[in-house]
Amino acid sequence: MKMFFLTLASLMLISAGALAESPNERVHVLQKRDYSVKNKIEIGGLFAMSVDDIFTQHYAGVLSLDYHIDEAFAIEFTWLSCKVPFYMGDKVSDDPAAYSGSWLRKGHSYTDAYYNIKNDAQLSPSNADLAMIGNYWGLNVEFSPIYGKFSLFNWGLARADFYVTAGGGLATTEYMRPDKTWVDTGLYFMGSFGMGFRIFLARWFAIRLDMRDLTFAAKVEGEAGATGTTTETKIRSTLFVMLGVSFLFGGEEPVQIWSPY
Amino acid sequence: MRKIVSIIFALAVLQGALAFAQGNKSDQLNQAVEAYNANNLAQAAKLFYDVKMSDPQAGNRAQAEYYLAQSLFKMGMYQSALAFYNAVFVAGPAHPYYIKGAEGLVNVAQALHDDTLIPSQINKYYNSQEFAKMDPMILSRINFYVGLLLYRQEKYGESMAFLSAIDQKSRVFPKGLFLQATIHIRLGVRYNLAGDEARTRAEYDQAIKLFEQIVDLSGREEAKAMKAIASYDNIVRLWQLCTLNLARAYYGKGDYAKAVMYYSRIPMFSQDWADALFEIGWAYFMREEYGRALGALHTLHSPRYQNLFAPESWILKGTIYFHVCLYEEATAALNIFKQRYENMLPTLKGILDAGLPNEKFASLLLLDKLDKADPMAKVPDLVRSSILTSPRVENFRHFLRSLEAEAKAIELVGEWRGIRLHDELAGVVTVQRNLLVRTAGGFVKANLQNRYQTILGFVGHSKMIKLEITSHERLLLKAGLSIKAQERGKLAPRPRVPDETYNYWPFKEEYWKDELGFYVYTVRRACPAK
Repeated sequence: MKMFFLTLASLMLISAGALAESPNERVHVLQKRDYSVKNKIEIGGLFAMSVDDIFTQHYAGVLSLDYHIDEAFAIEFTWLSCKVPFYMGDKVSDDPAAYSGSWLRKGHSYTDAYYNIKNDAQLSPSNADLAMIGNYWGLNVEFSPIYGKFSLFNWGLARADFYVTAGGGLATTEYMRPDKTWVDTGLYFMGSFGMGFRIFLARWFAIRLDMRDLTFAAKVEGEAGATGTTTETKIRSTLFVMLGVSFLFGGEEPVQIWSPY
Repeated sequence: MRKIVSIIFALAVLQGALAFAQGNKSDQLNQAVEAYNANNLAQAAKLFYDVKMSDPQAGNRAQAEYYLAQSLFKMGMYQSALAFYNAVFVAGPAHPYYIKGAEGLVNVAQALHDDTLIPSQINKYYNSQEFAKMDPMILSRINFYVGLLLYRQEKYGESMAFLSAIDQKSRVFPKGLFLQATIHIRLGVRYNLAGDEARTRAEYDQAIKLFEQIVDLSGREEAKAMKAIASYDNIVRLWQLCTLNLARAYYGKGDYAKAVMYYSRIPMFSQDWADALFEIGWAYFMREEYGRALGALHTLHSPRYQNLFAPESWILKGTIYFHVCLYEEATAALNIFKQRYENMLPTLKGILDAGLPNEKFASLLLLDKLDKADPMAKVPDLVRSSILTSPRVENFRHFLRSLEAEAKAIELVGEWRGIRLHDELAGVVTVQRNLLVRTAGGFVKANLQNRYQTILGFVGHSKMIKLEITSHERLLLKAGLSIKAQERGKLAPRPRVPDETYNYWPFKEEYWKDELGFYVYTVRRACPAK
């Protein structure tokens, strides 16, 4: 299957006469892959942002490390980070809302919806809805059943692999109480499902566009009752869109035979 | 007595005058040599010319003639130099500069990229005894030129004798080997036509050995190749051609697997690729890999090669379809041949039968744009482009550009204005230009004739196949089978993808540049069971 995302007709010139379709034959293309990924290690750096949460907004840096078992399967280690791991920052004593090292939460923020509810309606969403991913370390299996290629005008040709990925890992989450103090909810197991594609611009370089859904059970403090504070659990899922580049190393490099051509 | 005295006196005066004149000419020769050594070449040429024309001493005249040629050569006036080198050479071994004159001719041939006229002149006056005294490198080049000339005249035995005399250290040594191998191929074809299988194989084996010997000069690795590139003329192109010709030789031998292997080594989009695609089509056909054969032709018939003169490719396509009993498709392919090539025949015949002198054909080759009134403007584009792809065309064009530049340069030399040297050189260039135009015209005419005959030959093939198709269709009807192939058999499944390092794409009437060369057909199994 060819994927014609941006294909325009310039590459495709129809030869009159020679192309009369015959019911008695089929023409196929059996093409040696230009970009083999088998046994290659791929190191990627991506920028990610969450797109579906009402109250929270994440911005993350993602480091991915893939080992391609063959052309179709890969194992991927992912580290997604919205804040500096295992570091909460110190409260500033005369202002409980302020933390030293505020830069460490650059990837965390609450949306306008949160502030509107809180300030205008004097309500607060549940803590579970406010939990934000700090860091995620996961292992995924990646499967690339679809390949494609495209061209924009006649500026060369790019190859693409479309893949789906599934896996899981550990994540840290935290949320902000109404008194603006931060609560670390500890390590969670987090499931990860996603899909994406990489566009190969060279044998060793690709652009990646991913979507990952990270699902976790947020265990947070519930409302305070007569017997104390309850624990509230809610399944949360956060969808990230990621864009970045990756570099591929190793594998079988094509044998360079000296040719007089 | 008084009469005798006056005669003696007169003789004495004449002798004195001659001696004075001789002394004067010797001075002029010395001045010419001085100017030559001082690199004042226009002045030197003028003085050498004077000495050549008027010195009473034959030795001085001979020396002046040779150095006049040398001066002109150094000035880049190759055609003018050629006239005087030629005079020295044609004078034969009696001329003290005979050998040097021959060397001069070789240098001019190289400078003018002339592999036709000068070699022919050298061949005419070839003197093996005298040439043995020559620098072996120059002699090797002469042997190559003469060998090439004789090869073109199809005098293969004589050509081989010259080519095998080329020194191994000569820059043209691989070219000589290549030409020898090509001769073996030609002989192989001849024996094959005569049905002499043993000699056919022997000739092809010899050719393969020689092609391999040329490839071996590279050591088949980059470091050694670089050394060879510095040592031999055009070796890179020869290596390229060896790949193609090894494929041809194995094909000729009937070893189609090896032929396919070598054809496949020719890189996509290289200058030999179109030839390789067509020929690999034949090799696959002989191996009964019809899907691959049609695939190779599919690339050849893609828009990339829409200006390629390849009449036989449509005949091959028709033949393959005929072999798999797809008669409609075979007829369609032959109709394309008719439309693209057979319809050209009246135009080509009209041009060839118009009784045009050779000069009239030259414009096709020498001019980039043809005037509408020019008879060569009628030559179909496919034919014209096929002629212009010949490597000899660039040689002709180079030669012409060189002559035009030389004519201008002669006019610009102030020292020569108004003297006989100027007129003689201008005359030489004009004569040579006219000769070149005639030769180039002859080349074009011969090529047009060749294209005409080629198409005509395939018209015969096409008719034969069509006749066979009709007779096979009649047999189908007699057997109660449908003429329509889709009612006779199943479409073969799509080809197996060899492994995961291959991508499969179906062809949907779109030509993608990266897919050229990777097409494979599957066809309906339409032949009735025997």
